[in-house]
Parts: sequence; structure tokens; C-alpha cells
Amino acid sequence: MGVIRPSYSENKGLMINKNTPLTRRLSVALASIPLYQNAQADAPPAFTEVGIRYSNYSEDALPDSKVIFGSRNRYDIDVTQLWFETPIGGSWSVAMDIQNDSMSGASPWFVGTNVDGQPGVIMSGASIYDNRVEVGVTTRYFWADGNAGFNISNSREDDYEARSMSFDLAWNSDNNSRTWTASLSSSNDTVEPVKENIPVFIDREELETQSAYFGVSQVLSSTAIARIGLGYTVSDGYLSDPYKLNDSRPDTHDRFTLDGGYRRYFIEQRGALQLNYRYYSDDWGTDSHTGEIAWYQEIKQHSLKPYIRYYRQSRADFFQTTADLSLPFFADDYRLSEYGATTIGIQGFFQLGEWRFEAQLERYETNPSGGIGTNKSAPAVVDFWRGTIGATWRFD
Amino acid sequence: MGGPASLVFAPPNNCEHVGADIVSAAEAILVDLENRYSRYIDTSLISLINERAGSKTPTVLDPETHGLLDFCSHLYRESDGLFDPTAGVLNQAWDFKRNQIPSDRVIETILPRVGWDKVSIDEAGITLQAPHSELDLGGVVKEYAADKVAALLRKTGVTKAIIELAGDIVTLGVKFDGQPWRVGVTDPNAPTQTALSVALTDACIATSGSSQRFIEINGQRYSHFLNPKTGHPVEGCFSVSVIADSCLIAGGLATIACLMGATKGKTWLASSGLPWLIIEENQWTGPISDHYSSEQSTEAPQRNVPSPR
Amino acid sequence: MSTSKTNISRCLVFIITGALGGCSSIEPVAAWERGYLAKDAMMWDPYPRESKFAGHVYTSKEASSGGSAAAGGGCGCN
Repeated sequence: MGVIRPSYSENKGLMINKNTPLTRRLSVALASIPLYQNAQADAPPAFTEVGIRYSNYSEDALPDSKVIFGSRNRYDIDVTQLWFETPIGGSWSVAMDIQNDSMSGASPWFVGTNVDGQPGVIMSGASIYDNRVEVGVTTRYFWADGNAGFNISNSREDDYEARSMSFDLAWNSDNNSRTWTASLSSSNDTVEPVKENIPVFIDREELETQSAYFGVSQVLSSTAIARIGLGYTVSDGYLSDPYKLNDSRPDTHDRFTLDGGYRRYFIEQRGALQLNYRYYSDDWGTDSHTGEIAWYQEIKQHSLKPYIRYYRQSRADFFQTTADLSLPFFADDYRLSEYGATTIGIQGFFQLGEWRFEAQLERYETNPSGGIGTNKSAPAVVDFWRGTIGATWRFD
Repeated sequence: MGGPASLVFAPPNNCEHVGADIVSAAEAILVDLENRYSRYIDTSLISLINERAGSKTPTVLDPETHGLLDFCSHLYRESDGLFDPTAGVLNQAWDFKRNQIPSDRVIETILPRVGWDKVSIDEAGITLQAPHSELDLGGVVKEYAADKVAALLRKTGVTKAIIELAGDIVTLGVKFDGQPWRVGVTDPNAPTQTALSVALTDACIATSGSSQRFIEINGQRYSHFLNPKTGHPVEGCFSVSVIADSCLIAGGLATIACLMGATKGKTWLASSGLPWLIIEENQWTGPISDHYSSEQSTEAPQRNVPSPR
Repeated sequence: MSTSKTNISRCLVFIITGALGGCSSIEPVAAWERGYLAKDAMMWDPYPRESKFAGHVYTSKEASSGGSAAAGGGCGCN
């Protein structure tokens, strides 16, 4: 039929608007018929969407034996996400996201040795209260073979401000059975630590991060797809943790990821098997493997997705359980130590007309000896619960 | 297809014998679609599907038919069930020539056979679950045929053409003199006259309506379109025309607007954003009418959209 | 780590071309058969707000980051 451009076209002054919800739906319907296939363009969403999610993240208290001094209670965060997304004309869409994180709790200040000679955590003093707001806007352009998006985000909290922008591209080839994706991002962060509970030794520092990702996704059959991707990120600037007493990290950080995914739909069971894998490696010495398995079960127009995530990481080169200050770089931050962690969770969606309600619960547990390597992990490894409820409204 | 067909085009490179090949190919498309989708041909695919109604034996579908039936499902949903390819059996009860209304009992025996929800399509093929039910693709085949011939022309390099299939018109490019194709819309009240002339470039116009075929009950005129849920005729529209990029969409919209009736049809067509025209006894409504009624054209139209049958 | 990075890049070029090269097992899928692929169950990221949030949680609690798109802005997460 030639390319049907999703825009206005003039027929001697009589405007044809192909972008109403009704004609968009009918154009999607035409895609069932081979004759009209080549005319299908990558198109903006056919509806406007407004959504809200509320989540609670709650870390387990540390066991007595691991705490030398300070509160055993750790972080508690309430997160609210608000967004809308809407098509504009026949080729554009715009989205706005607002997120508010309300944080409270204590975090490890440094790791020392207790009376029995075992490592233990000295926690930061009184509870920290902080609020972080993040606002992001994305505009997206659609054309026959793909789409491109541009995003600007800004986040702010008492001691940290981050500004970032990113550009992403998706391009369909091979009669839409292969999709290439590329994205680039750049961010600039400023850290100005709060000097209340514990002494900090910097006033104001900056760091910059540049990142690139390339991926390709392939349709394998009418019920299976696979994808592979490569990512590269470099950070430059102040990369240490100002709230940790013994923390001095290099001022550059190069990170690399290789990820793959697979999805397979089982028609009779009305469900899909979802597999994801990521390999991570950086120049601080950390390697990690992440694997996720999920089963997405359709139940009439609703769905339920139980999932498991396995994670193992090795330690950073300069990590010691109790920091060695004689070395050029040192850190006792449990996040750079060696451990494994397992997440089990379940996510459910309930569709009611134009509304979709969601609920999710997940449990993350660290296995201190499950890391890559032979050392045991830091005393302050974290376990947490995360729960979310949300509602999305989609309308024409 | 039950209607006249004409094809006017400039052969690519003005090569006459290529033109003749194209005409044969176009005819072959029409004959093939007729052989596959006509209810009146015993060996057609449709007849085979209909023979197996109620027997639980699925009929394997080729990709093209599968796609067309999927499209019909979409039209069924968009029209809230008014557009129903299984409603054809109801015609057995109605004789439009004699103006006779069948008894409720007759309609009641036929209604259980009607319902797109009683049709199942899956990997094994299509199954009509209700015995003695019938699939009738008359509502889409004509328009699909026009689009298919247009695709053939485009593929062979034709850039200027006008295709007419029983009242549905597809244009490719512009006329040979560089001006848009002019299509006349006939006034159903005065079928020999062209009421207005529409200029089309790479667009289709499809028309539906009951100005020629109708039934009159107690002075009230009803169309020959039957409501699949009640078995009775809908009020219908005198004449509906829609312009779109493809004949299938133009025709689908025109047919559904007709099933909805003039009042609801107007609002519904307005929501589509496409140019439309609804002609009632004394009234012409719609963007096509608004735009063209004030225009005077000295040029006679190349084709007239005949009064719909 | 820097020497192993070069080896890894070479390995990856091989994996990617290998993965796409073995495409004879890929069945062409016609447009009308794509219904299953358009389902939420078969999308890579049908719920981007959840994946963004989950990614944020894991990035701030683990040493690894990234893996599905270029990294976004940061936070002072502790």
C-alpha cells in the first residue's frame, strides 16, 4: 500500500486526521492482514496514561552480634511515583515522571572489631531523615522503522543533586523481527554532605558519569524472543562515600555489562517464561552475575508474576572487612564486599475497565558466604522487604 | 462481487502490453477472491467452513483469510456487535422485495445461529459452533479486493490509477493531467445527478446505505441491514460515504455507521477524524459536505459513486 | 582488570555475531501471528516504572549497576 505516514495528509484541503483513537485501533487491526503489513509504522501509544505507585522499602535490623555501637535499625524508605504519558499528534509522545523518596534510618559509619575480635558495625548516630525528589521528562518521536527518545532528569535531596540527560534509539529491521537499540546518557552530580550526626570531611564535590548501551533483540518464533546487550559506563570525580569514616575510593570508575534475555510464551498455559542474565565487571575489581527467572501467568485479563533473582558479587580490590588505612584506596562498605543474595517476589496486576491496579511484594536476603571468592562478607550486609501498590488509568 | 468493476490506469513507462498484463493480473485477483469467499460457489472456502457449522471440525485458514477474519473481529468489537459476519442467515427470513415482515417465531429459530461469539478461531483453524450458521464476508471482500488490486498496481510501478469496484473507489496518485481524481457522489434522491464531486489523491472512498434496498413497515422505512441481536432491520442510513487511506477501513466505517443509524452514526464517524458524509432524505451532513458544497467545479467527475445497493 | 577487559570485548564480538549468525533456526513470523509477541507477558519492559525503581534499589544496595539501558542520574543512596 506504500507507507502510511501517521500524520495529517491533505486531499485538496480536506484534512484526513489518522490519529484519532478509533483510526489508530483500526490501523492496528489492519496489521493482521498480510497485504497491509509494510504500511505499519512504529507508532506512539494509542492512549494517555496516568499512574501512581506507592512503595515501602524496609531493611531488617542488624543482629545484636554485628553491631558494636548505635541503632540496630536500618533504612526505611517510602517512595511515591507519579507519572503521565500521552501521544501528541501522530508521531510524538511525551511523558513526565515524578518520584518522591522519604528516607529515614541509620546506616553503617564504619566497621570495627568487637571484644571477641569479630568485625562489627558502628552505626551513624541518630536517625537520618531525608527527602529526595526526582523529576524527569521524556519526549519520543516515532517513524516507520523505529523510535527515538530524549530524557532530562533532575533529582534533589538535602545533600545530593543529580542532573542527567539521555538519548535512546530503537530501530526495527528485517520485517520487524529484529530491533536494534542504542542509548547514551550523561549525568552530573553534586554531593554536599550534611554535617549533623557524624563528622564529614568534604564540603562540596562533584562527579560525572557517561554511559552507553547497545543491544539487539530478535524474534525467534511466534512465541519466543531473545536479546543481548552491552553496556559501558565511566564515572569521574568524587566517588567515595562521605558518610563513611574509612572510605577512600579512586576518582574514576569504569563499568561494563553484558546482558541477555529470553521470553517464551506457552499458548495452552497462557503464560510466559522470562529469563534475564547480566554479567558485570568493573575496574575496581568487582565482578558479578545476576540471573532472574519469572513466570508471567495470565488470568483472564489480569496477571500474576512470581519471580526469583539470584545475585553474586566478588569484592572490590580495595575492600577490607575492617578498612586498612595504610593503602591508597580503602573501604569497608558492605556493598563492595563479597556476597550472594536471593530475591523472591510476586507481582500482580488486576485490570478493571480503563484502570489497572498492581500489588507487589518482594524479599531480598543476603547469603554472606554466597559470593564470588573465599572471603566471608562484611557484617553489615542487608536483608530487606519491598512492597508496592499502584493504580494506572489509561484512556483515549 | 455482484457489481460493476472498472480500472483506469497509466501503464508504467506507457508500455501497453505491460498494461494488458496488469489488467489480467487484476482480473485474476478478483476471480480468486470470488472463488474463495463467495457463498454462492459450492467449492469456495467460505462454503466449506459453512458446511462444517456445528460439527466441531475446524477449517484450516490461510494467512490472508485469518487476517481478514481478525479484522472482522475488530469491526465486531468497534460496532458493539452490530457488524457481524454471521448475520447473513437472517436474510432467509426477510424478503425485501415483498415488503413482508416475518413472524417472530421464524426469527427466533434463526437467531441462535447468529453470533460472532460463537465462532472460534485458533491455531487449528475456524469453527462455527452453532449448527446451520453461516459466515458471510460480503461486508469486507469488495473493499479488500479494491485494496488488493491497488497494491498490485503499486507493486508493478503504476503511479496514476483509479479503481472502482461496485461503488467503492481507490485512487492512486493523481490523474494523467496532474490534477487529483474527481469522484462524484450521486444524490440518492435524484440518482441521475451528481450532487458533489470529491477530489482524491491516493485515497479511497467507500459508500454504504439503503436508498435502493429497503423495506417499508407502517410508513417507516427500514434498511436491508439486519440487527444481529434482534433479527430485525436497523433504521439504517440513506447513504454514508467515508474517505480513508484504504478501502477496507473506509468501507468498514461506512458499513458500521449505517448499522448504527444516522444519529449515532454521525457522532461515531466524527470521532474517527476521517472525512465522512451522511445523506438523509433532505439533509447532507459531514466534513465532505461542508468542504465541497461551496465549491463549484466545471470539471465533470471521472467516476460517480452510484447510489448504494 | 584492564587486560581481561580487552579479552572480554573480543569474546563478546564473537558471541554477538555467533548468536545472530545461527539464525537458521529463526522462523519468520508473519504480522498476523504477532499477537502473542505483543502481550505484556512477552515485552522486555512492560512496566518501566517498576523496573526503574527496582533498578534503583539494587544499584544502591549492590556493587553492580546497569544492564538494560544507559545509566541514568544518581542519588546519594546509602
